[in-house]
Amino acid sequence: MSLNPASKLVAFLGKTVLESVFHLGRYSLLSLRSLILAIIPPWRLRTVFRQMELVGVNSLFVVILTGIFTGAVFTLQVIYGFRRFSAESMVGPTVATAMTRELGPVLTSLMVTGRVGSAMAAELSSMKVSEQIDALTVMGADPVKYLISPRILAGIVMLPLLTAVADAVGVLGGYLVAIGKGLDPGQFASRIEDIVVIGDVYNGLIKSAVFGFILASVGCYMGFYTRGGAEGVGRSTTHAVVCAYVAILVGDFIMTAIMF
Amino acid sequence: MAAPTIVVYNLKKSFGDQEVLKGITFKILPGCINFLIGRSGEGKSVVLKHLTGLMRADSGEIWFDNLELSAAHPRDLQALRLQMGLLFQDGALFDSLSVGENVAFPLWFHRITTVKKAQAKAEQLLEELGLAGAGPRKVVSLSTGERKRVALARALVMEPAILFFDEPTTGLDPLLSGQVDELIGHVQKRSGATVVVISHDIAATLTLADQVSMIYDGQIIASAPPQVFKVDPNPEIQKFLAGEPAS
Ligand SMILES: Nc1ncnc2c1ncn2[C@@H]1O[C@H](COP(=O)(O)OP(=O)(O)O)[C@@H](O)[C@H]1O
Ligand SMILES: [Mg+2]
Repeated sequence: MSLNPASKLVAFLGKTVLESVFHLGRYSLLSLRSLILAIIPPWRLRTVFRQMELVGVNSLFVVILTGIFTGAVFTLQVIYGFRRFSAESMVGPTVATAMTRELGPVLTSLMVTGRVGSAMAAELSSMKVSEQIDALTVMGADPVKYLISPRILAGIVMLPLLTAVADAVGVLGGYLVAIGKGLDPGQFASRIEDIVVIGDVYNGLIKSAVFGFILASVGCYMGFYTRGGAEGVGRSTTHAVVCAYVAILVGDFIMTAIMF
Repeated sequence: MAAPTIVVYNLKKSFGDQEVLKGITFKILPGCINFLIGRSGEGKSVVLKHLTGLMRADSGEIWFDNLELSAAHPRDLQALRLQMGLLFQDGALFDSLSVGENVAFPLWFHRITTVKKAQAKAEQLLEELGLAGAGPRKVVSLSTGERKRVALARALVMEPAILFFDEPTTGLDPLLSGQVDELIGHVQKRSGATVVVISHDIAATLTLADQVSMIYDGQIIASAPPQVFKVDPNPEIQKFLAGEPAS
Protein backbone atom coordinates (compact mmCIF):
# COMPACT_ATOMS: atom_id res chain seq x y z
CA MET A 1 0.00 0.00 0.00
CA SER A 2 1.48 3.36 -0.95
CA LEU A 3 0.47 6.43 1.03
CA ASN A 4 0.81 10.03 -0.01
CA PRO A 5 3.34 12.09 1.99
CA ALA A 6 0.68 13.80 4.09
CA SER A 7 -0.84 10.57 5.37
CA LYS A 8 2.65 9.19 5.95
CA LEU A 9 3.37 12.19 8.15
CA VAL A 10 0.13 11.70 10.05
CA ALA A 11 0.91 8.00 10.49
CA PHE A 12 4.40 8.83 11.75
CA LEU A 13 3.12 11.43 14.20
CA GLY A 14 0.41 9.11 15.43
CA LYS A 15 2.90 6.31 16.02
CA THR A 16 5.29 8.63 17.84
CA VAL A 17 2.57 9.97 20.12
CA LEU A 18 1.28 6.47 20.91
CA GLU A 19 4.78 5.23 21.69
CA SER A 20 5.52 8.20 23.92
CA VAL A 21 2.31 7.69 25.86
CA PHE A 22 3.11 4.00 26.20
CA HIS A 23 6.62 4.65 27.53
CA LEU A 24 5.46 7.42 29.85
CA GLY A 25 2.77 5.19 31.30
CA ARG A 26 5.06 2.22 31.76
CA TYR A 27 7.76 4.46 33.23
CA SER A 28 5.32 5.98 35.72
CA LEU A 29 4.08 2.57 36.82
CA LEU A 30 7.60 1.24 37.30
CA SER A 31 8.72 4.30 39.28
CA LEU A 32 5.64 4.26 41.46
CA ARG A 33 6.00 0.55 42.13
CA SER A 34 9.67 0.87 43.05
CA LEU A 35 8.93 3.77 45.43
CA ILE A 36 6.16 1.80 47.14
CA LEU A 37 8.32 -1.31 47.38
CA ALA A 38 11.11 0.80 48.85
CA ILE A 39 8.85 1.67 51.79
CA ILE A 40 7.40 -1.80 52.39
CA PRO A 41 9.56 -4.09 54.54
CA PRO A 42 11.68 -6.17 54.48
CA TRP A 43 14.22 -3.41 53.88
CA ARG A 44 17.61 -4.24 52.51
CA LEU A 45 19.63 -1.40 53.91
CA ARG A 46 22.88 -2.94 52.83
CA THR A 47 21.93 -2.85 49.15
CA VAL A 48 20.76 0.76 49.55
CA PHE A 49 24.04 1.76 51.22
CA ARG A 50 25.97 -0.04 48.52
CA GLN A 51 24.16 2.00 45.85
CA MET A 52 24.64 5.24 47.80
CA GLU A 53 28.31 4.49 47.95
CA LEU A 54 28.43 3.82 44.21
CA VAL A 55 26.55 7.03 43.38
CA GLY A 56 28.67 9.10 45.77
CA VAL A 57 32.08 7.64 45.11
CA ASN A 58 31.63 7.42 41.35
CA SER A 59 30.61 11.05 41.10
CA LEU A 60 32.37 12.98 43.85
CA PHE A 61 35.50 13.83 41.91
CA VAL A 62 33.71 14.92 38.77
CA VAL A 63 31.18 16.90 40.81
CA ILE A 64 33.96 18.77 42.62
CA LEU A 65 35.70 19.59 39.35
CA THR A 66 32.47 20.76 37.77
CA GLY A 67 31.58 22.85 40.82
CA ILE A 68 34.95 24.62 41.07
CA PHE A 69 35.19 25.50 37.41
CA THR A 70 31.56 26.53 37.10
CA GLY A 71 31.92 28.85 40.09
CA ALA A 72 35.22 30.17 38.74
CA VAL A 73 34.12 30.89 35.20
CA PHE A 74 30.80 32.31 36.31
CA THR A 75 32.68 34.69 38.62
CA LEU A 76 34.92 35.81 35.78
CA GLN A 77 31.88 36.67 33.69
CA VAL A 78 30.12 38.43 36.52
CA ILE A 79 33.18 40.53 37.42
CA TYR A 80 33.55 41.53 33.79
CA GLY A 81 29.95 42.61 33.64
CA PHE A 82 29.59 44.23 37.07
CA ARG A 83 32.82 46.28 36.80
CA ARG A 84 31.24 48.36 34.08
CA PHE A 85 28.90 49.92 36.59
CA SER A 86 31.07 49.51 39.72
CA ALA A 87 28.91 46.85 41.31
CA GLU A 88 31.82 44.63 42.41
CA SER A 89 30.33 44.27 45.88
CA MET A 90 27.47 42.27 44.33
CA VAL A 91 29.77 39.66 42.74
CA GLY A 92 29.80 37.35 45.81
CA PRO A 93 26.02 37.23 46.34
CA THR A 94 25.37 36.82 42.63
CA VAL A 95 27.72 33.87 42.35
CA ALA A 96 26.38 32.26 45.52
CA THR A 97 22.75 32.68 44.47
CA ALA A 98 23.37 31.27 41.02
CA MET A 99 25.36 28.32 42.37
CA THR A 100 22.89 27.27 45.05
CA ARG A 101 19.68 27.92 43.16
CA GLU A 102 20.57 26.79 39.69
CA LEU A 103 24.08 25.85 38.63
CA GLY A 104 24.86 23.52 41.54
CA PRO A 105 21.75 21.34 41.32
CA VAL A 106 21.49 21.23 37.53
CA LEU A 107 25.13 20.73 36.58
CA THR A 108 25.66 18.18 39.36
CA SER A 109 22.64 16.21 38.18
CA LEU A 110 23.74 16.30 34.56
CA MET A 111 27.22 15.08 35.49
CA VAL A 112 25.86 12.32 37.72
CA THR A 113 23.45 11.28 34.96
CA GLY A 114 26.37 10.80 32.59
CA ARG A 115 28.29 8.89 35.19
CA VAL A 116 25.72 6.96 37.22
CA GLY A 117 22.39 7.04 35.35
CA SER A 118 24.08 5.56 32.31
CA ALA A 119 25.82 2.94 34.45
CA MET A 120 22.49 1.93 35.98
CA ALA A 121 20.98 1.53 32.52
CA ALA A 122 23.97 -0.48 31.31
CA GLU A 123 24.04 -2.75 34.34
CA LEU A 124 20.32 -3.50 34.37
CA SER A 125 20.13 -4.04 30.65
CA SER A 126 23.02 -6.47 30.63
CA MET A 127 21.34 -8.28 33.53
CA LYS A 128 18.20 -8.36 31.45
CA VAL A 129 19.75 -9.80 28.29
CA SER A 130 21.75 -12.41 30.22
CA GLU A 131 18.54 -13.51 32.00
CA GLN A 132 19.81 -12.48 35.45
CA ILE A 133 16.58 -10.57 36.02
CA ASP A 134 14.56 -13.68 35.14
CA ALA A 135 16.76 -15.63 37.53
CA LEU A 136 15.85 -13.22 40.35
CA THR A 137 12.16 -13.59 39.55
CA VAL A 138 12.33 -17.39 39.59
CA MET A 139 14.11 -17.31 42.94
CA GLY A 140 11.22 -15.27 44.34
CA ALA A 141 13.30 -12.09 44.54
CA ASP A 142 11.26 -9.23 43.07
CA PRO A 143 13.74 -7.52 40.72
CA VAL A 144 12.00 -4.15 41.10
CA LYS A 145 12.41 -4.21 44.86
CA TYR A 146 15.86 -5.73 44.82
CA LEU A 147 17.42 -3.79 41.91
CA ILE A 148 15.44 -0.61 41.24
CA SER A 149 14.21 0.60 44.64
CA PRO A 150 17.71 0.86 46.16
CA ARG A 151 19.01 2.73 43.12
CA ILE A 152 16.21 5.28 43.20
CA LEU A 153 16.59 5.78 46.94
CA ALA A 154 20.32 6.27 46.49
CA GLY A 155 19.67 8.88 43.79
CA ILE A 156 17.20 10.81 45.97
CA VAL A 157 19.52 10.81 48.99
CA MET A 158 22.88 11.33 47.35
CA LEU A 159 22.12 14.10 44.85
CA PRO A 160 21.42 16.75 47.52
CA LEU A 161 24.66 15.78 49.26
CA LEU A 162 26.66 16.02 46.04
CA THR A 163 24.91 19.29 45.21
CA ALA A 164 25.85 20.74 48.60
CA VAL A 165 29.46 19.85 47.82
CA ALA A 166 29.21 21.45 44.38
CA ASP A 167 27.63 24.60 45.86
CA ALA A 168 30.43 24.92 48.41
CA VAL A 169 33.35 24.34 46.04
CA GLY A 170 31.65 26.52 43.41
CA VAL A 171 31.53 29.50 45.77
CA LEU A 172 35.07 28.71 46.83
CA GLY A 173 36.20 28.68 43.19
CA GLY A 174 34.45 32.01 42.69
CA TYR A 175 36.09 33.43 45.80
CA LEU A 176 39.56 32.47 44.58
CA VAL A 177 38.94 34.01 41.16
CA ALA A 178 37.57 37.17 42.77
CA ILE A 179 40.67 37.56 44.93
CA GLY A 180 42.87 36.90 41.90
CA LYS A 181 41.01 39.66 40.09
CA GLY A 182 41.72 42.09 42.93
CA LEU A 183 38.31 42.18 44.61
CA ASP A 184 38.05 42.69 48.36
CA PRO A 185 37.84 39.21 49.98
CA GLY A 186 35.87 40.36 53.00
CA GLN A 187 33.27 42.04 50.86
CA PHE A 188 32.81 38.94 48.66
CA ALA A 189 31.98 36.84 51.70
CA SER A 190 30.06 39.24 53.91
CA ARG A 191 27.60 40.38 51.26
CA ILE A 192 26.78 36.69 50.62
CA GLU A 193 25.54 36.39 54.19
CA ASP A 194 23.51 39.57 53.84
CA ILE A 195 21.77 38.69 50.62
CA VAL A 196 21.58 34.94 50.04
CA VAL A 197 18.80 33.41 52.14
CA ILE A 198 18.80 29.87 53.40
CA GLY A 199 15.70 29.22 51.30
CA ASP A 200 17.83 29.56 48.17
CA VAL A 201 19.98 26.70 49.37
CA TYR A 202 17.06 24.52 50.48
CA ASN A 203 15.17 24.95 47.25
CA GLY A 204 18.27 24.03 45.29
CA LEU A 205 18.69 20.89 47.37
CA ILE A 206 15.03 19.91 46.95
CA LYS A 207 15.42 20.31 43.20
CA SER A 208 18.48 18.10 43.25
CA ALA A 209 16.61 15.35 45.14
CA VAL A 210 14.01 15.38 42.37
CA PHE A 211 16.78 15.27 39.75
CA GLY A 212 18.30 12.33 41.63
CA PHE A 213 14.98 10.52 41.39
CA ILE A 214 14.73 11.33 37.68
CA LEU A 215 18.21 10.18 36.70
CA ALA A 216 17.99 6.91 38.66
CA SER A 217 14.44 6.02 37.65
CA VAL A 218 15.05 6.81 33.97
CA GLY A 219 18.32 4.85 33.99
CA CYS A 220 16.60 1.87 35.61
CA TYR A 221 13.59 2.06 33.30
CA MET A 222 15.77 2.05 30.18
CA GLY A 223 17.82 -0.86 31.50
CA PHE A 224 14.92 -2.89 32.81
CA TYR A 225 12.97 -2.91 29.55
CA THR A 226 15.91 -3.52 27.22
CA ARG A 227 15.42 -5.86 24.29
CA GLY A 228 17.77 -7.50 21.89
CA GLY A 229 21.28 -8.44 22.97
CA ALA A 230 24.41 -6.33 23.25
CA GLU A 231 23.06 -3.77 20.81
CA GLY A 232 20.10 -3.22 23.13
CA VAL A 233 22.47 -2.53 26.03
CA GLY A 234 24.18 0.30 24.14
CA ARG A 235 20.90 1.75 22.98
CA SER A 236 19.36 1.79 26.44
CA THR A 237 22.42 3.54 27.89
CA THR A 238 22.22 6.34 25.33
CA HIS A 239 18.47 6.69 25.76
CA ALA A 240 18.85 6.85 29.52
CA VAL A 241 21.25 9.79 29.31
CA VAL A 242 19.34 11.74 26.68
CA CYS A 243 15.92 11.25 28.29
CA ALA A 244 17.19 12.06 31.78
CA TYR A 245 18.90 15.24 30.51
CA VAL A 246 15.73 16.47 28.90
CA ALA A 247 13.59 15.51 31.90
CA ILE A 248 15.98 17.28 34.29
CA LEU A 249 16.04 20.49 32.27
CA VAL A 250 12.26 20.54 31.78
CA GLY A 251 11.72 19.62 35.43
CA ASP A 252 14.10 22.36 36.47
CA PHE A 253 12.11 24.96 34.59
CA ILE A 254 8.82 23.79 36.07
CA MET A 255 10.14 23.62 39.63
CA THR A 256 11.88 26.97 39.40
CA ALA A 257 8.71 28.57 38.12
CA ILE A 258 6.79 27.15 41.06
CA MET A 259 9.38 27.69 43.82
CA PHE A 260 10.89 31.11 43.30
CA MET B 1 5.43 -29.54 49.76
CA ALA B 2 5.33 -32.94 48.12
CA ALA B 3 6.35 -33.07 44.50
CA PRO B 4 3.35 -31.77 42.54
CA THR B 5 1.83 -33.14 39.38
CA ILE B 6 2.26 -30.62 36.58
CA VAL B 7 -0.17 -30.68 33.68
CA VAL B 8 0.21 -28.51 30.61
CA TYR B 9 -2.89 -28.15 28.47
CA ASN B 10 -3.07 -26.69 24.97
CA LEU B 11 -0.39 -24.04 25.57
CA LYS B 12 0.01 -21.55 22.73
CA LYS B 13 2.57 -18.80 22.32
CA SER B 14 3.59 -16.58 19.42
CA PHE B 15 6.32 -13.97 19.14
CA GLY B 16 5.09 -11.44 16.61
CA ASP B 17 3.90 -13.62 13.75
CA GLN B 18 6.20 -16.51 14.65
CA GLU B 19 4.03 -19.19 16.22
CA VAL B 20 6.37 -21.13 18.53
CA LEU B 21 4.03 -23.19 20.71
CA LYS B 22 0.99 -24.46 18.81
CA GLY B 23 -0.90 -26.24 21.56
CA ILE B 24 1.46 -28.06 23.92
CA THR B 25 -0.28 -30.73 26.00
CA PHE B 26 1.55 -33.10 28.32
CA LYS B 27 1.82 -34.26 31.89
CA ILE B 28 4.92 -34.17 34.06
CA LEU B 29 5.14 -37.15 36.39
CA PRO B 30 5.57 -36.17 40.05
CA GLY B 31 8.70 -37.38 41.81
CA CYS B 32 10.18 -38.57 38.52
CA ILE B 33 12.78 -37.48 36.02
CA ASN B 34 11.00 -36.07 32.98
CA PHE B 35 12.97 -35.31 29.84
CA LEU B 36 11.81 -32.78 27.27
CA ILE B 37 13.68 -33.20 24.02
CA GLY B 38 13.51 -31.67 20.60
CA ARG B 39 15.63 -29.91 18.03
CA SER B 40 17.22 -26.56 18.62
CA GLY B 41 14.77 -23.67 18.28
CA GLU B 42 11.66 -25.83 18.75
CA GLY B 43 10.64 -23.90 21.85
CA LYS B 44 11.90 -26.08 24.71
CA SER B 45 13.26 -23.13 26.67
CA VAL B 46 10.04 -21.24 25.98
CA VAL B 47 8.04 -24.11 27.52
CA LEU B 48 10.26 -23.96 30.59
CA LYS B 49 9.79 -20.21 30.91
CA HIS B 50 6.04 -20.75 30.91
CA LEU B 51 6.30 -23.46 33.56
CA THR B 52 8.28 -21.11 35.80
CA GLY B 53 5.90 -18.20 35.23
CA LEU B 54 8.49 -16.07 33.43
CA MET B 55 6.39 -15.92 30.27
CA ARG B 56 2.65 -15.59 29.85
CA ALA B 57 0.95 -17.89 27.37
CA ASP B 58 -1.36 -16.52 24.70
CA SER B 59 -3.76 -19.28 25.70
CA GLY B 60 -3.78 -22.63 27.46
CA GLU B 61 -3.37 -23.81 31.03
CA ILE B 62 -0.57 -24.91 33.33
CA TRP B 63 -1.61 -26.75 36.47
CA PHE B 64 0.54 -27.41 39.52
CA ASP B 65 -1.76 -29.86 41.32
CA ASN B 66 -4.84 -27.66 41.85
CA LEU B 67 -3.20 -24.32 41.07
CA GLU B 68 -3.52 -22.83 37.59
CA LEU B 69 -0.62 -20.48 36.92
CA SER B 70 -2.35 -17.75 34.91
CA ALA B 71 -5.11 -17.40 37.53
CA ALA B 72 -2.85 -17.78 40.56
CA HIS B 73 -2.68 -15.10 43.25
CA PRO B 74 0.79 -13.51 43.42
CA ARG B 75 1.18 -14.90 46.93
CA ASP B 76 0.56 -18.48 45.74
CA LEU B 77 2.91 -17.92 42.83
CA GLN B 78 5.60 -16.70 45.22
CA ALA B 79 5.09 -19.74 47.46
CA LEU B 80 5.36 -21.99 44.42
CA ARG B 81 8.55 -20.27 43.30
CA LEU B 82 10.22 -20.97 46.62
CA GLN B 83 9.69 -24.66 45.77
CA MET B 84 11.28 -24.31 42.33
CA GLY B 85 14.83 -24.43 41.12
CA LEU B 86 15.71 -23.46 37.56
CA LEU B 87 18.98 -23.92 35.77
CA PHE B 88 19.06 -21.45 32.87
CA GLN B 89 20.54 -22.59 29.59
CA ASP B 90 23.27 -19.93 29.82
CA GLY B 91 23.56 -19.97 33.58
CA ALA B 92 22.19 -16.47 34.28
CA LEU B 93 24.73 -16.05 37.08
CA PHE B 94 24.89 -12.66 38.81
CA ASP B 95 28.18 -11.23 37.64
CA SER B 96 28.26 -8.62 40.38
CA LEU B 97 28.56 -11.42 42.94
CA SER B 98 31.24 -14.04 43.56
CA VAL B 99 30.69 -17.72 42.79
CA GLY B 100 29.94 -18.54 46.42
CA GLU B 101 27.56 -15.58 46.79
CA ASN B 102 25.73 -16.70 43.66
CA VAL B 103 25.15 -20.17 45.04
CA ALA B 104 24.18 -18.90 48.49
CA PHE B 105 21.99 -16.10 47.09
CA PRO B 106 18.55 -17.75 47.53
CA LEU B 107 19.35 -18.71 51.13
CA TRP B 108 20.71 -15.24 51.84
CA PHE B 109 17.88 -13.42 50.11
CA HIS B 110 15.10 -15.28 51.88
CA ARG B 111 17.03 -15.18 55.16
CA ILE B 112 16.72 -18.93 55.52
CA THR B 113 19.96 -19.57 57.35
CA THR B 114 22.78 -17.48 58.72
CA VAL B 115 25.25 -16.11 56.20
CA LYS B 116 27.89 -18.52 57.55
CA LYS B 117 25.70 -21.58 57.12
CA ALA B 118 24.63 -20.46 53.65
CA GLN B 119 28.28 -20.13 52.65
CA ALA B 120 29.11 -23.54 54.07
CA LYS B 121 26.23 -25.08 52.14
CA ALA B 122 27.37 -23.36 48.95
CA GLU B 123 30.92 -24.61 49.42
CA GLN B 124 29.67 -28.14 49.94
CA LEU B 125 27.54 -28.08 46.79
CA LEU B 126 30.41 -26.63 44.77
CA GLU B 127 32.66 -29.38 46.04
CA GLU B 128 30.15 -32.05 44.99
CA LEU B 129 30.25 -30.50 41.52
CA GLY B 130 34.04 -30.60 41.31
CA LEU B 131 34.50 -26.91 42.09
CA ALA B 132 36.05 -27.11 45.55
CA GLY B 133 37.43 -23.76 46.66
CA ALA B 134 35.81 -21.82 43.81
CA GLY B 135 33.65 -19.76 46.21
CA PRO B 136 35.66 -16.50 46.15
CA ARG B 137 36.18 -16.54 42.37
CA LYS B 138 34.57 -13.98 40.10
CA VAL B 139 31.87 -15.18 37.73
CA VAL B 140 33.65 -13.70 34.69
CA SER B 141 36.66 -15.95 35.33
CA LEU B 142 34.60 -19.14 34.85
CA SER B 143 34.69 -21.36 31.78
CA THR B 144 31.41 -22.43 30.16
CA GLY B 145 31.44 -25.77 31.93
CA GLU B 146 32.19 -24.15 35.28
CA ARG B 147 29.42 -21.59 34.83
CA LYS B 148 26.98 -24.38 34.16
CA ARG B 149 27.93 -26.21 37.32
CA VAL B 150 27.80 -23.08 39.48
CA ALA B 151 24.33 -22.36 38.09
CA LEU B 152 23.40 -25.97 38.85
CA ALA B 153 24.56 -25.53 42.44
CA ARG B 154 22.45 -22.37 42.76
CA ALA B 155 19.38 -24.22 41.45
CA LEU B 156 19.90 -26.98 44.03
CA VAL B 157 20.74 -24.91 47.09
CA MET B 158 17.15 -24.45 48.29
CA GLU B 159 16.50 -28.19 47.92
CA PRO B 160 13.40 -27.45 45.85
CA ALA B 161 10.56 -29.89 45.23
CA ILE B 162 10.51 -29.05 41.53
CA LEU B 163 13.70 -28.80 39.50
CA PHE B 164 13.99 -27.50 35.97
CA PHE B 165 17.23 -27.99 34.06
CA ASP B 166 17.68 -26.31 30.69
CA GLU B 167 20.38 -28.31 28.92
CA PRO B 168 22.47 -29.06 32.01
CA THR B 169 25.22 -30.87 30.12
CA THR B 170 25.49 -28.92 26.86
CA GLY B 171 29.01 -27.56 26.59
CA LEU B 172 30.49 -29.98 29.12
CA ASP B 173 33.06 -32.62 28.22
CA PRO B 174 31.85 -36.26 28.36
CA LEU B 175 33.37 -36.95 31.76
CA LEU B 176 31.76 -33.89 33.35
CA SER B 177 28.41 -34.40 31.69
CA GLY B 178 28.43 -37.97 33.00
CA GLN B 179 29.01 -36.57 36.49
CA VAL B 180 26.24 -34.00 36.13
CA ASP B 181 23.82 -36.66 34.89
CA GLU B 182 24.74 -38.82 37.85
CA LEU B 183 24.21 -35.89 40.19
CA ILE B 184 20.76 -35.19 38.77
CA GLY B 185 19.76 -38.82 39.30
CA HIS B 186 21.24 -38.73 42.77
CA VAL B 187 19.52 -35.49 43.79
CA GLN B 188 16.18 -36.76 42.52
CA LYS B 189 16.49 -40.00 44.49
CA ARG B 190 17.57 -38.22 47.65
CA SER B 191 14.91 -35.49 47.54
CA GLY B 192 12.05 -37.14 45.68
CA ALA B 193 11.72 -33.94 43.62
CA THR B 194 9.90 -33.59 40.34
CA VAL B 195 12.63 -33.07 37.78
CA VAL B 196 12.28 -31.70 34.26
CA VAL B 197 15.36 -31.85 32.06
CA ILE B 198 15.73 -30.34 28.62
CA SER B 199 18.36 -32.18 26.68
CA HIS B 200 19.96 -32.99 23.37
CA ASP B 201 21.82 -35.94 24.83
CA ILE B 202 19.94 -39.03 23.64
CA ALA B 203 22.03 -41.54 25.57
CA ALA B 204 21.52 -39.70 28.87
CA THR B 205 17.85 -39.27 28.08
CA LEU B 206 17.26 -42.96 27.56
CA THR B 207 19.16 -44.04 30.67
CA LEU B 208 18.05 -41.36 33.17
CA ALA B 209 14.49 -40.58 32.19
CA ASP B 210 11.33 -41.99 33.71
CA GLN B 211 9.41 -40.25 30.95
CA VAL B 212 10.48 -38.72 27.66
CA SER B 213 8.43 -36.06 25.84
CA MET B 214 9.38 -34.77 22.44
CA ILE B 215 8.42 -31.39 21.03
CA TYR B 216 8.17 -31.04 17.27
CA ASP B 217 6.61 -28.24 15.25
CA GLY B 218 5.16 -26.58 18.33
CA GLN B 219 3.48 -29.70 19.72
CA ILE B 220 4.30 -32.67 21.91
CA ILE B 221 4.39 -35.61 19.51
CA ALA B 222 5.11 -38.30 22.11
CA SER B 223 5.27 -38.67 25.87
CA ALA B 224 6.27 -42.10 27.12
CA PRO B 225 8.73 -44.13 29.22
CA PRO B 226 12.08 -44.45 27.41
CA GLN B 227 11.60 -48.12 26.42
CA VAL B 228 8.30 -47.22 24.76
CA PHE B 229 9.57 -43.92 23.35
CA LYS B 230 12.55 -45.66 21.74
CA VAL B 231 10.34 -47.83 19.56
CA ASP B 232 7.76 -45.15 18.70
CA PRO B 233 7.06 -45.51 14.98
CA ASN B 234 6.78 -41.73 14.41
CA PRO B 235 9.41 -41.01 11.73
CA GLU B 236 10.40 -37.68 13.34
CA ILE B 237 11.24 -39.51 16.58
CA GLN B 238 13.25 -42.17 14.80
CA LYS B 239 15.17 -39.55 12.85
CA PHE B 240 15.90 -37.60 16.02
CA LEU B 241 17.10 -40.76 17.79
CA ALA B 242 19.32 -41.63 14.84
CA GLY B 243 20.74 -38.11 14.76
CA GLU B 244 19.38 -37.38 11.30
CA PRO B 245 18.06 -33.96 10.22
CA ALA B 246 14.31 -33.30 10.27
CA SER B 247 12.36 -33.49 7.05
N1 LIG C 1 11.65 -13.56 24.17
C1 LIG C 1 11.55 -13.95 22.89
N2 LIG C 1 11.20 -13.08 21.93
C2 LIG C 1 11.07 -13.47 20.65
N3 LIG C 1 11.32 -14.73 20.20
C3 LIG C 1 11.69 -15.65 21.10
C4 LIG C 1 11.83 -15.32 22.50
N4 LIG C 1 12.21 -16.43 23.15
C5 LIG C 1 12.30 -17.40 22.22
N5 LIG C 1 12.00 -16.95 20.99
C6 LIG C 1 11.96 -17.74 19.76
O1 LIG C 1 11.26 -18.94 20.01
C7 LIG C 1 11.88 -20.03 19.34
C8 LIG C 1 12.17 -21.13 20.32
O2 LIG C 1 13.21 -20.73 21.19
P1 LIG C 1 13.78 -21.67 22.34
O3 LIG C 1 12.68 -22.06 23.24
O4 LIG C 1 14.91 -20.93 22.94
O5 LIG C 1 14.31 -22.94 21.55
P2 LIG C 1 15.02 -24.23 22.16
O6 LIG C 1 14.09 -25.36 21.88
O7 LIG C 1 16.30 -24.38 21.41
O8 LIG C 1 15.23 -23.99 23.61
C9 LIG C 1 13.12 -19.48 18.68
O9 LIG C 1 12.82 -19.29 17.32
C10 LIG C 1 13.35 -18.14 19.34
O10 LIG C 1 13.90 -17.23 18.43
MG1 LIG D 1 16.86 -23.64 24.69
